Amino acid sequence: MVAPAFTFSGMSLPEDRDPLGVWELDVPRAAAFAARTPTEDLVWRADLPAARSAAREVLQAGLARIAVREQQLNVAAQRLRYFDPVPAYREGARDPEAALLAATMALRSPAVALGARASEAPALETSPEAQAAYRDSIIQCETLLAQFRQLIQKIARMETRVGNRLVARSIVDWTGDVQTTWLAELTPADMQDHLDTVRLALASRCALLRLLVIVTSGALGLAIKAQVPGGQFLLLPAVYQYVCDVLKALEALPGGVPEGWQ
Amino acid sequence: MPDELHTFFQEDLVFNGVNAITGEYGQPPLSSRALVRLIRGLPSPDDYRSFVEHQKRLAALAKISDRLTRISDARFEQQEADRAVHLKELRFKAHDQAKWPVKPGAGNLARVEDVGWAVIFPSDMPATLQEEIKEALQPLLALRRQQAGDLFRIYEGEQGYRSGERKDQYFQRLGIGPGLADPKEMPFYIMLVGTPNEIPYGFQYQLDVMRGVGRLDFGDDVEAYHEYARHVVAAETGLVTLPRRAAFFAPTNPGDRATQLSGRYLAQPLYENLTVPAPERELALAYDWELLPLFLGENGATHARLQRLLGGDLDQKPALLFTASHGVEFPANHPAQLRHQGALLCQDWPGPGQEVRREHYFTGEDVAEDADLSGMMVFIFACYGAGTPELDQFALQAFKVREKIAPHGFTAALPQALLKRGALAVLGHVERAWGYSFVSPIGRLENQAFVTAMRTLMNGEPVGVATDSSFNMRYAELSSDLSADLEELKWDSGYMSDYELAHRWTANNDARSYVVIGDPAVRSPFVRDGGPDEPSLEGSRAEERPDLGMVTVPDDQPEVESVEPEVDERLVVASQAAISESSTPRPAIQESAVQEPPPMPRPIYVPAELRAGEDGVAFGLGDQFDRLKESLRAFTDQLAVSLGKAAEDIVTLDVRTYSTPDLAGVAQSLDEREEVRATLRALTRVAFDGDLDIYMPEKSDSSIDQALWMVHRAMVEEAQDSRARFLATMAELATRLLDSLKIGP
Repeated sequence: MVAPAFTFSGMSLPEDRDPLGVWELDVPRAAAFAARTPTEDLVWRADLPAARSAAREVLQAGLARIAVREQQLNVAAQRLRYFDPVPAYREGARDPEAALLAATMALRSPAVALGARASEAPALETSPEAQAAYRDSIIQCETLLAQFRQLIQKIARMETRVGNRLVARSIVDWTGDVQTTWLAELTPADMQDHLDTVRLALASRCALLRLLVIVTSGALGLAIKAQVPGGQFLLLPAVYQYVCDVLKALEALPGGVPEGWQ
Repeated sequence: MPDELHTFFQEDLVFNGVNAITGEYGQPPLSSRALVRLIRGLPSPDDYRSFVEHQKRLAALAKISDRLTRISDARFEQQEADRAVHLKELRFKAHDQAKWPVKPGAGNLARVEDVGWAVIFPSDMPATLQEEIKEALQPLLALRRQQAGDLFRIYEGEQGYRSGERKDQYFQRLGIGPGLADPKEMPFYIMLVGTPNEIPYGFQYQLDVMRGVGRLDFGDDVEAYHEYARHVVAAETGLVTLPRRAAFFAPTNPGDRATQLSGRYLAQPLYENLTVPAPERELALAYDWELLPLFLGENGATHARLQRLLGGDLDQKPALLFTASHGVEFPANHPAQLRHQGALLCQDWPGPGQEVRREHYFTGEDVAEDADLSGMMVFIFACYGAGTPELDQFALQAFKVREKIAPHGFTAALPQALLKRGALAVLGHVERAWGYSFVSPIGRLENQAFVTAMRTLMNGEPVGVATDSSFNMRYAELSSDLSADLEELKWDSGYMSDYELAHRWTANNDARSYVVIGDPAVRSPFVRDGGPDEPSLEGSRAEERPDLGMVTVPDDQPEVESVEPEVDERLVVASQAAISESSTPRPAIQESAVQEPPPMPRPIYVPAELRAGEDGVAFGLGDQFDRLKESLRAFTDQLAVSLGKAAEDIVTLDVRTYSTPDLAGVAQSLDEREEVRATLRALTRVAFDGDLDIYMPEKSDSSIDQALWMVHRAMVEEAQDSRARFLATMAELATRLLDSLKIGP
């Protein structure tokens, strides 16, 4: 089995999957850094082939992919802005909008019921299934928030290995300060490889945050459009899934984005 | 420059106002040289003589004996002081905080819930009339109070506007600071109730710089206030929806250069621009719109056509109507002035020098009593289209006299009539409108303010947002630049060409004078879905929305399991009981999983008694929900802490490069107290003020290690870029999360 070129550890994500489709999520390793335990930091790691041209190709592919993903996130954000529950519902069918609408519908009624006055005895009832869906949504939302919280709590570290040889490490902290340690006697080409790993990791970190911004805005907008009280929180997992579905659907297009977006 | 436009600037300058008595231009054509002399306040004796002759001629026709009024020096100085204060605020808007007029963190400008809503009455309005008007407006006041919560205000009595007060004086009296609008101090959306005599246009312009302002003026017609309130509430509660249809009306009268310009270089390009939903660098249209065929010149810009467009004819009734024409002008105190000034002169008028007949123009009286204009919004480009001030601003600049051009300031009759028949807002021009303020001296279209305003309205944003992002911004920028230019010209007469100055001056006045008649928080109630009200194809249809990559699963792909929501009928019935009446009848629901899910109810106005309270219904879910909110709050706090740390440390950016023969054995830490068993080879420290400390890597022979230096430099650039992007994204995330926490339940 071929080891993945780009791995990422120190943080979990829904379904243990990188929504950007660049990084493989890694189980926590034994301490590679003596000073800190791995779970304290996010580690972005590139494992490149020894052959120069193959290594460049892998890195270029990763950088190209993240650039497309950034565009695709813009498309997803705009689709969310345009999302209108009513036509999506009538059109029915097999696209991310239908799934999002279904999730919204499932949450709407218990959320409305929850929003009614508590001073009277509950005039509204919800089915156990609806309550369960509501609870699941709360749990998923808490999980999603906890996962993304790691992105902002932890420092980012990057490592590059070429042909299994560790060639460089970098740490980037909150303010953007960078500390890089190179293996002595490296060639400029090896240095370029690590520089690209750092670029890729930083772009990915920013893209993940951007994804969360889109999800948060989208959930808020949808909560208002579809009148789901508390939907700005409850719909976070559904909107996250929607964005991931849109990113996946866009993969089918030539160039990865609709015409006019390139 | 196109030859045609070139001739406009070669010949005398013309303005969009025609005198109804003489059939001549309200302001005689001027050469740009003469206009510039007047702008600079340096009229020649000939200018003054010809001005006086012209005014005397008009006075003689209307039998007016008191047209020229000269003010005292003291009053003139007061006027200059007013302008200085106003200019300061304009400069702030143009240069210091160009984007949004509300304080950061206030929320979404388009939401009354976030930025509030208020009404200002004149302090000296008779108490009885004021109470009657408030009573008549009660449905609207209740709606806005519901929406705005504690950001709703009524400024009346001592808090109302006092006659003669400048905006800064009013604010000072109320303890409101200048600059960006703080909704907690004074809401963003302000509706003035009163005539321009009671609350002058000058105050409205000043207030409008940093806020979304509209005026409601039906005089003492209390019933009209009630009708308007009723129409707004109907539109906002979903009882009125209109097809997404826009119409454009632009006469080009024979031999008349002003309307040739406004028809072909304002209305037509605007129309063409809006047929493209998302042109490059333009605000994209969020919805498809049907644009009726352009009614330009001989092609339908007639009185009869306007009668149809504004007659409530269901086949023609547009949600948005844009007109560009002459506005009819009368001498001060003329019997018809109050009823007809600002009326839209249609294609029926044969041109300059020809008699203006009653049937040539369209005014408030031409709006049929039974016309149903519910939900419409109208944008009028015409002299006096929105109203007329008492004193002539043009004469003030030229001759330092304030000529009375009306017995008192008044709102034009046509917008009043439109609002009485159901229109939600009219965006129009007070005093003269200069036709070439949308074309630059080099012949380039400068219609961006019109484009932005229309696109914003067509995206369903409030009219107060449409004007702020367009004409208010343009006014702030032009005014700021113009005052600087005039200052320079005092010292260097060659600083700017004559017609460039003329252009700037007229463009500035033009931009200032766009006002909203109506509630500035209203938005067009067009259909937001593709339901049965979808308009039929007539004329050009707006193109498809930009491709957003909606992928249709082809037939040969495996069937994707569609997610059918299970609908509990009791739940639906209970939900229906909880939500107030809607105009959409609800279909019957079957208990089992449905093949055809019921239509999603449209967002509707939820009455106060059904809004979420602090304590939720006890299914055990309330506690869980509260814990979730706490998680989000903790997340937001974490974000705030991180941003706070970043703010403290952001003073410098450190990029360090080490090398070591044993990378695996190195402990790397940004905490400098820990030992780093590697050699520091390069360091760049970038200070916040741009100072740089650079330590370059040397080889053993003391030469610069170029390879390492190049990659270190690249790392510095990457660090700078990525820091900016990352912190900006974090800040945006914090804002979104705070927005989520702010709204209920």
